[in-house]
Amino acid sequence: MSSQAVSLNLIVKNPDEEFRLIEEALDGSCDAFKTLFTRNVTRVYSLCLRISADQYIAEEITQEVFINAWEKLRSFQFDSKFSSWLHRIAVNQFLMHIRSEKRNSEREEEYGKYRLNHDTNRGTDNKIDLENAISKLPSQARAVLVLYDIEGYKHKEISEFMNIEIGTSKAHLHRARKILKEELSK
Amino acid sequence: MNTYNLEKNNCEKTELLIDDSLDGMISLIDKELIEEHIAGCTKCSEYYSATSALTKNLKTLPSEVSGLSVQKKNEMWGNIESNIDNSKYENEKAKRDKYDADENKISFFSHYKYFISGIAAVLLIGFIAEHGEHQLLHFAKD
Repeated sequence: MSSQAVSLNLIVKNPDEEFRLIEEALDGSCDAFKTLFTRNVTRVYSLCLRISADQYIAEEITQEVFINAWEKLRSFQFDSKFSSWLHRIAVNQFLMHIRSEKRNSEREEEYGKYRLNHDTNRGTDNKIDLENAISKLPSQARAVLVLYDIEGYKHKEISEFMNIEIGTSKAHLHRARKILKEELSK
Repeated sequence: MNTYNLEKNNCEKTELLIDDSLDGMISLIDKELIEEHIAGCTKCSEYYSATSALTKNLKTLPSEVSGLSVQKKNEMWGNIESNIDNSKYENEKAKRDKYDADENKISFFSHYKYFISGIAAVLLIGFIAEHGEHQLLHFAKD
């Protein structure tokens, strides 16, 4: 890795730099917000894709996340990571989306149910099987599993994200892991 | 019947405790209870091994599922940009700038308040003195 790439990586990971961009966006700078979008969009999209298991919904939610983020930027507390804040919005958007049954059924008719179609060059068969098994989980259980086991959030954080009890989050995780093991053993 | 229910409940409870244990959120007492139960229960022992392997596998998955193409990112940004209300922030910024300017005015006066008060007092005394003298002369003439 070149020294330029290393220094760029350091800038990206520097929260002060990110906070400065947020301040600029708060002053109305669309360019600063675009930089924040460019730096976070892949992570946000990945989370949306995993929890929704549908690339069209994931794209739609990702866009909604950033539109919401722009509108609610003033409520961002500078004591947490911007990416975590975006993840919280993404989970909320996803939950709003799954509540809309009608919308889901219309989309399924339009596009057909999407299954994660991973590029075989990207990972091992084991990982592809795992991703496909995750995509088959019930939506709430899938969201908790993705947030806990892949993104590394704690049950307390997930309960706040999803507006559920900590016990409910644990129950969803237990159920998700159980279904996943059954699915993988087939 | 009672024995069966108790055994079933113990396994269900143990599974939840195993989850907590794998998540590193368990007391030493509960840990000992799990170990004791697992030693004599094949089902829970298998649950422990399988869940442990699964969580390890899940942790190896990358945070980024797939790279979005530049074209897709640009398309997304285009949709976002056309939806975000620029005027909202521009108006807020204008309001904030006006507020800051007013604050500066206030802070200027508060900073020099004694100096300004002093000058005002001197001018007032001077005016009264001047005007008062004329009044006295006017009364004296009368």
